[in-house]
Amino acid sequence: MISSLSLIFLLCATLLGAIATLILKRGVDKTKSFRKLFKETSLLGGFFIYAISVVLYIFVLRKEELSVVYPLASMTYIWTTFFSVKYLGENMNFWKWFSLFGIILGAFLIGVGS
Amino acid sequence: MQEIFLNDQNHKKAFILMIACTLFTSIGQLLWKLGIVKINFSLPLSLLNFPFLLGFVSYGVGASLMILAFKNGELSILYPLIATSYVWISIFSPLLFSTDSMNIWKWSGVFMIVFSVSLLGWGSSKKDKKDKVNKYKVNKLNKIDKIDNEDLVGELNQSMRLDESEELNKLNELDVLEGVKID
Repeated sequence: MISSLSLIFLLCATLLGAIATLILKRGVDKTKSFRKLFKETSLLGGFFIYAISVVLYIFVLRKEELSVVYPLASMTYIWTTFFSVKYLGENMNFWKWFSLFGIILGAFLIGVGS
Repeated sequence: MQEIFLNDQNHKKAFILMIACTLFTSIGQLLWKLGIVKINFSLPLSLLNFPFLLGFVSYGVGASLMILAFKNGELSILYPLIATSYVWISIFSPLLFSTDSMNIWKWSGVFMIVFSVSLLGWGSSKKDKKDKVNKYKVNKLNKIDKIDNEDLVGELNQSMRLDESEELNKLNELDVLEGVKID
């Protein structure tokens, strides 16, 4: 089905993507004005980590089929939601959970169709 | 722990920015796919072909829009919107690449994502209204808490009661009285 190396790469890629987004969000929250956004160094860190995850994705996409990669890649949404609750103090409720699962299901369906 | 300055949240604005972001990142991906066939690694200059570079630009625009969106909303609401890029790609890719085509799976996936995103949008606007009301109430209560003098507190309480009609007007302004639970 899918090689274990690709699985590991995907796991890392999704985690790194979520971590990168978390860093970006934190960096944005810290800045009080639009101008200071450009000086915010953590944004660069976030983009760099995101770039690493993109490289991992490219490796995986060369080997594996989209129908398998798409659903697994949607793990990013779960990680990001988890991080935002734990580190950003956000709260989950029913409609957020429902939308999250709907989106993962949608990604899965698109993957199957690809 | 560095000071976190919580920006006022406006999820409608953040939503529009995120959807625009996904449009640009999707266009960027499609441009990359167009440009990558032209690349011949033995000829480094071929990297500088037009679709490939334009893809980077498009991606950059998308990333900037995402940053702006993050300023206005919660991550748990905005990040799932990235799935909208699946929708854009599913729609545009068959138009650009003959090897791609739509099918029932893709359509149902697109529908599911659009539905979930709409649900997210509806829920976030409710949340915004609720947050506004709570913020307004907290501001009012803070004015009382900060005062030690008991007489003044009594007076303020009185004026709060008299201001009930003013509060109702404020809530009307915020368009909140339509079924939003205030706890």
